[in-house]
Amino acid sequence: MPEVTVRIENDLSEIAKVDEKLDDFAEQFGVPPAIAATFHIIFDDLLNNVISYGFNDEQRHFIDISLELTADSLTVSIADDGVPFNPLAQTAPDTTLSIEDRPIGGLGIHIVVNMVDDISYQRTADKNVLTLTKSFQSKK
Amino acid sequence: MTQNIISGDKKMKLNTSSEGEVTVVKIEGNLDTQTSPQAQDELNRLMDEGSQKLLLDFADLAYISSSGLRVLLAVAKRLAPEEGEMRICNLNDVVNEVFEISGFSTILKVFPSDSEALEGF
Repeated sequence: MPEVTVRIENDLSEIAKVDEKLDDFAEQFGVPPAIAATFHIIFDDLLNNVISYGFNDEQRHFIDISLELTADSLTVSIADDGVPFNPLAQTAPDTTLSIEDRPIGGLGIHIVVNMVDDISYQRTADKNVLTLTKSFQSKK
Repeated sequence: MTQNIISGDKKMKLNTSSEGEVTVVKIEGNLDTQTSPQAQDELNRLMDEGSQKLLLDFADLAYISSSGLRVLLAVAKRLAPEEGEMRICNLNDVVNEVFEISGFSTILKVFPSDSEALEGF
């Protein structure tokens, strides 16, 4: 099964490296454009969160991303050594609020969780590991 | 119709034109962490210069993340008390999905095509 890994540093500009890797992978192995677009969104939201809020020192940290393709699905995993954070344990935002009442933030994880078919979180050896799978025949 | 091309980087470009009182902004590429600040700046500039009716055409927008949604919300929040309006048209399936999940399809004015969006604008 085709697989690729990429390691980035905890800087927002590094997200572009993941985007590039995803595009290359998608082109090489024929990942449907809508699936690739979905994962661009997922990477942007999750990596933005990790980089912005996951570390409370001024140190350089690494984030490891992997992509794995099967005949009918794409699975990605994101591993970071930041503060313990389980995206699945967060309160969902109120998506019925009007323009005036909406806070500006809080939507990233909600979107990600609702765009994939399977998502799991593990805290192992001081790392947050999030694994997400989207099937090409997804009902979502 | 005035045509004014603003070039972003290769990940996002904004093409601005006018349809009567409406400023049409065609956003090409994507709206994510990297490209959203520039889009926000440009939309702010248009509103600073007096644009009260904005039509964002997403025909060539591949995807939008929550950073992009934040830009849209900021524009909508700014126009509301000024009696202005923002409409969005030509969303692809992935962008539509993001709008549905986030509830933005309900709170923002979304149209299937530019002609429908311009009707009565």
